[in-house]
Amino acid sequence: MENEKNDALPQKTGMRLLRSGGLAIRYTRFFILAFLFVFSIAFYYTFTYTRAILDEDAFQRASNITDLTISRISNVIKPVEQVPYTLSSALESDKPDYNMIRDLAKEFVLDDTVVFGSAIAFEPYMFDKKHYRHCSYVFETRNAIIERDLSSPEYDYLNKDWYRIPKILDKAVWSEPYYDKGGGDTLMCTYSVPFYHWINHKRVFAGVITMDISLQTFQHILKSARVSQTGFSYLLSRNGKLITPLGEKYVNTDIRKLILRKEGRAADSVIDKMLRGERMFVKITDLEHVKVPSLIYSAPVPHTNWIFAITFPTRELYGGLYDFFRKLTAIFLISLVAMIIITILITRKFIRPISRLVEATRRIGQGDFGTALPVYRSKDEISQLTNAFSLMKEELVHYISNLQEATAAREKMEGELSVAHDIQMGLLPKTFPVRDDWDLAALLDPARAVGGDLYDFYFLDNDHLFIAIGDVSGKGVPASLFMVSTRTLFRSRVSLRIPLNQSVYEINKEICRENPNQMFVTFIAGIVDLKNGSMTYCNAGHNPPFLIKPTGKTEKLREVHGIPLGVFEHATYSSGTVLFAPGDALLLYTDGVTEAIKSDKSFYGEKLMLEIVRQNHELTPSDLIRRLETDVLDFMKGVDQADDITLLILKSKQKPVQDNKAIFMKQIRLLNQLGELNRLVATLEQIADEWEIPPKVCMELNLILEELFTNVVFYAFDDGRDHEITVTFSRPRAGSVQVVLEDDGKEFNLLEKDTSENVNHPIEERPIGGLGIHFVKQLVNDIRYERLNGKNIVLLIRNY
Amino acid sequence: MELIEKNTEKCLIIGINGRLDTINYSILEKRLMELLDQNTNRILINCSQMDYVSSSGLRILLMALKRITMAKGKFALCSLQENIREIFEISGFTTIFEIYPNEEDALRVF
Repeated sequence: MENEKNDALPQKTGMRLLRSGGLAIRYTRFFILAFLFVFSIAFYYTFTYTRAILDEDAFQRASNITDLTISRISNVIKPVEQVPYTLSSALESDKPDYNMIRDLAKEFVLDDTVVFGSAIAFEPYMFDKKHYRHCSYVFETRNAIIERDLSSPEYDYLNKDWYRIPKILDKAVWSEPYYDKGGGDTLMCTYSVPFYHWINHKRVFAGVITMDISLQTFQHILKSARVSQTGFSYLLSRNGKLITPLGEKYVNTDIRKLILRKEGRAADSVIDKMLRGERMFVKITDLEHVKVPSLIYSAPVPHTNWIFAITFPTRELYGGLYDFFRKLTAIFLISLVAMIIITILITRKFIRPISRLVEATRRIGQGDFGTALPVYRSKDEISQLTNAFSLMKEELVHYISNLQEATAAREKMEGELSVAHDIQMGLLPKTFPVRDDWDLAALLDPARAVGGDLYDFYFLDNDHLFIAIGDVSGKGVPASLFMVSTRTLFRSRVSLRIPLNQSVYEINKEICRENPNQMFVTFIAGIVDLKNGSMTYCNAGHNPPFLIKPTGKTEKLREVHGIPLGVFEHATYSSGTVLFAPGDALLLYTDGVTEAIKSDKSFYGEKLMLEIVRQNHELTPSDLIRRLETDVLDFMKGVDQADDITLLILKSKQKPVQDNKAIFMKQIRLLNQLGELNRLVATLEQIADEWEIPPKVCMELNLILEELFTNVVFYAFDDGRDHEITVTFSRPRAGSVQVVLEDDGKEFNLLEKDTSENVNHPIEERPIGGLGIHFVKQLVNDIRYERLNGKNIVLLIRNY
Repeated sequence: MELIEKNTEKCLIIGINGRLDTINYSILEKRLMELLDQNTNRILINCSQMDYVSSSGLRILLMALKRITMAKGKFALCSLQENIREIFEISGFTTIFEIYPNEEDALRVF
């Protein structure tokens, strides 16, 4: 089944190839053209050659027949010409015996098959003085010899051509054919020989002796002188008159009249040439009696002034040839068709494996590497191609599987790296407790999934905070591992019982001991006494930190207490002290900040960093860090982050004025998201529980806070970013709760919105919304609004 | 919050169970609009289990009332908790809504 399926497709492809001018069509076209070309040449050559042979053959035959016929005619004519001379000699003797001469002539007429009559005609009074005319004529009828006297004036032989012309020309002549009415009464030609008498030693024309030959005689001879079936021959007189009939007619007709007019001068010149007695062989396309292209062979008949011509239509001559070529053409056409079919079949047979290969290759191209390449047994180019494809497929499969493995490995690696990133980030402390006296914020943006920077902070006891920042040489996984181990060492070794520089010394030794890759880390560690604001710190080759004064001025802490950790096992470290005045902040950073590179290769640098710090020194540490981060990232826009960016700011807050009335205080920071409402409610319920607020009041407070909070969430911000909303609960005295809501959104004083009338409007006119603020106003004992430092502050008091 | 629907011959009773606040009011809104679109316009809201209602919740009830009044249907509330009843009073809604102390009383007028 599968094989069948496989077969079906390539066949279709084969058909497609055939249709779309594929190989089959191209080969077939080529073969047909080549075949046509070769055949045409062969055809033309054969045709021309064969026709030449036929022409030559026809010429030979015509020539032979002509010679034969002419000799036969000569044989007939020679005696006819001979006898009158003999007789004329007899007539020219002194005393001619006319009777004897007439008898001789009679005898000859009787003997000779051709001659049918003979006349002896005299000049007036030449026979005797009594008769003006004397002409005796002997002629042969079917079975008798008749003698006839033609001396009658009616006949008037003296004016006949056969008499006049030899007299005038003074020599023997053949007459033109004529019908001798009153003489032989038949169509004849006459040979007239003049004879003379000597009178007074003068040769005087005395008369003519004639021999008449019936033209029918030649018809017998000419009948057999034919080249082809419909060919024929004839005799012409010098003047162009037909001596023998053409198709039983036209005797004595001028041959010129028989040439169709359209032949024109060319035909005339042919006829002229013919009549001049030249031997010639011409093709003439129109003789009236033939009306088809014909060949004429003509030659003069000796002794006489006659012309023998033989005519035969070329059609008949070439008929066989044409027939042959017609059959040849038919054979050619049949073989052409056969050839086309064979070519197509053969080509398709050759193409089929290619088509299958194409199909299989296409499937492979679509990623189906299971596709088997067609099996092709013979050892030709196609099998080589198939083998090459097969090899290519295997290579591809191999390559792709490698690629897949590599991709999978990379994906796995990336997945693992992402986990590593999460773990690394998880190691970093994120939240610093909300305190009145100190605030701290830190940030690490790794350049890759995992980074070599680190920061750390944790409380050594209630009053002592450990802070640290470090930068491991190198990046990526090795650096991050190094960073983690360094952090762990610090966490385990730093203690209030040991001087910091001593701990650093120990840690350095530890790091150096197990450091095959010669990595090192620049480091600042500090222990802050939160009570008196002093910090002992140790800078191991790290970028100098800055102390930010409340005025925005910065002070570079240039002390360096030793070389980076991991460089030299026996390195010693000292330490320094910084005193935080209220409002002072310490800025720790790594070179990822100062050496951030812009697209024009310039560094971010300390100067820009300090400028941002100066402009924003009043911000909380977290805001300032975010500001710095934004600035650095903006600076590097379009360039890949080259190094981890790490920042840590510790700030000694200026002591807020204590509100002594607030015995209890609770603060919650909410994001500007509706979901935070749940947290707010939970906090409220907890407070209500602790402060013994009755459920009814709690519910009303809930209502109030929900309205105020949702109001802020919905309307205060339109930048789509996260904002913090602070809600502070306090108890100024027993039976009273004070709530302060702060947000940095758009200025909005809800108290200015007059909502008192809404309630009493008829239902249809009452606008939906605005109701919440009405509630708030109804349910509080006191409410105030203030816009302070870009913040909306709503303070409300509710007694219970 | 949970909505419990009960079909009686006279009307559809919807019980609101829990808090009706800004976060979840849309559940009620969606359901009520659905019902109104299906021409269910005799609705009684049983508030016996409604612990809390915010202005958003009230807004939905008000919208439902408006639409049903226009469709000449009937919309009423019953069994309000004391705290909730006070909220209704503050908002002036007691004058707008038909509010009955319990389900039986309410059903009597449907």
